[in-house]
Amino acid sequence: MGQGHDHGTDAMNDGRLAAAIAVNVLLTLAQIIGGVVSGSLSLIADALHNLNDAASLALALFARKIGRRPADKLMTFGYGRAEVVAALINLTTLIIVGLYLIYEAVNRFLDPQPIDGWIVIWVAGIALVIDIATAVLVYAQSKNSLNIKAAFLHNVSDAMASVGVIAAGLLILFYDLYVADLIITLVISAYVLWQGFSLLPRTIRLLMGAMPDDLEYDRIVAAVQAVPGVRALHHVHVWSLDEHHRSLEAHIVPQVDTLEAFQAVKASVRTVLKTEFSIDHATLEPCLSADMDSAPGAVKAHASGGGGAHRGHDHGHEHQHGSDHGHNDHRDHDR
Amino acid sequence: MVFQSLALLSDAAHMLTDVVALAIALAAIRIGERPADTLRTFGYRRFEILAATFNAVLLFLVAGYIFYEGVLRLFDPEPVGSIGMLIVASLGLGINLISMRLLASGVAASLNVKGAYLEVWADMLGSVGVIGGALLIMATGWTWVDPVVAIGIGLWVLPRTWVLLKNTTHILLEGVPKGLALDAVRATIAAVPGVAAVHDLHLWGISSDDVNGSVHVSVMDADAEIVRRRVLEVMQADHGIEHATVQVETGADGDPSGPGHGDDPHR
Repeated sequence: MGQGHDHGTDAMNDGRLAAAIAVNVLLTLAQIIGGVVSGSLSLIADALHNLNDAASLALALFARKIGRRPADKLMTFGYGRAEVVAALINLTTLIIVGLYLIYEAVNRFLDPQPIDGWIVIWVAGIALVIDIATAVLVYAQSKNSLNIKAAFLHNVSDAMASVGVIAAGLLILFYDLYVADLIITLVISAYVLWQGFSLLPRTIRLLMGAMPDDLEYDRIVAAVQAVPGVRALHHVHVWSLDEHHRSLEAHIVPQVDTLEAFQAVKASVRTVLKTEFSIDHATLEPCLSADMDSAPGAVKAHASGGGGAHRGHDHGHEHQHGSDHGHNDHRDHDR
Repeated sequence: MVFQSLALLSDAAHMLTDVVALAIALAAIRIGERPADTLRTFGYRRFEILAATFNAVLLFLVAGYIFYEGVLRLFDPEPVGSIGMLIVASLGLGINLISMRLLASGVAASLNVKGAYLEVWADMLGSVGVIGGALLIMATGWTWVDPVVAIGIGLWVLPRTWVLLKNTTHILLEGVPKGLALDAVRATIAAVPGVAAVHDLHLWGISSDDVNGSVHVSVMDADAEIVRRRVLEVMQADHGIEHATVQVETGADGDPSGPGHGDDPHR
């Protein structure tokens, strides 16, 4: 959603991401060529792995670019959530890869394969250098973006896996310590899974449109209710648009029943929302003749002030009633 | 593993992911039924979309892994125990057909169920492919059939997974729900007597089968309360928008919901 971003920095950051992707793709190509020429399956396997890295970074970059698009007729809130979805996909992948690593390590331990010799260690060494270069390029941006952080984590886990392969390879070559492979892989997997699972709840909460906590909801309701001119407040929804933006919608019963008076109340409510809660997108519906029931078209039980149930779809008979008959309106619960 | 068939192994891995996918879909339906609370003010229905996304990513990875193994096996073919393949795959086929029958009813209504269904469907096809491959290997002794079948299954699953992921991403990005056009809804609201201008129109879905709306309406020479009710009425009657917030205001321009938006929806 654009504002507050320095476009020069954005371009530079995108450039770094693109460089990281390019490095990984180049390595993939080099390894495939090397693998075919030398006939080493482990080189080809590692090449495909690196392609996976490049894909995770490319997804992050793609989501960043999409995320900057302004709102249009399809995405009326803008595309900011693209980055959160990319983070979800990368985190899910990370967790599945973590589980898969464990599965493979146990398999290898039960049925030990002779190490392909020094070539495995050389391959892992090259991969490690590339992984470190990628991490350096991406690290600075991973701090305030869930999206980049998820891609970065993927990278870190790869770097660790490369270290693991080198250490385990050396221990096996010199001491026949096959158990080293299992232990090192398990430790790495545990780290990957722990990181993945610790970022996942936040990502899911964002995509579920949740508040940071229950208390904040009550604070927002209380603050709006305290604005001069507001008699009552109900049907309050607050949700996260993306990592840095939130949106609110609410029905307000003003003390003075005219639209002109409501204009002023609305402006004050907007100011409170923006300054105290950094909610800069709000739709405020005035309920002017508050003692009447609401329009038949909008009948639905809402989460009102205290946060009630929200599932009552009661429609189908409204049109026989005509517009002067309302029914089970949520407004009644608030008074 | 005993029979050394990649197609069979990929089928088994697929089965396991099936069980996980079904369990997640079921849990998501349960969680999705929870009412709204002060933490999630629109309720939990969105959770089903997250479950469908998770299943789509899982399918992608499984397909990718089968590709990877398939390519490696093409370079370095391994002997295959085709009779064992045949028996296990037939068992799998039976289980998949039963699961498909159970899921079929919910597919049209829920993206979540659709995701799980897709997994089982891919599996069913996988079993058929393995059975065909085993018969061919028995008849001809061509072991390369095994990885080719595996890669074929992966190729068949990927485009379907992509469509599923596209649909869930659209909902997660709070896009205008399928079957609705922003301009048509805007025109309907603008046609309500007393409405001078319509702006800041938003339409989005929490899940695959509901629509939320919010809009600003400028009122000229009319009772604001009547206009507000009428707008809510036409939104539901003409477009099925059951949950809407209408900000009525004076003056043609009104005040925008907030900054940071493109021109189009906020005209």
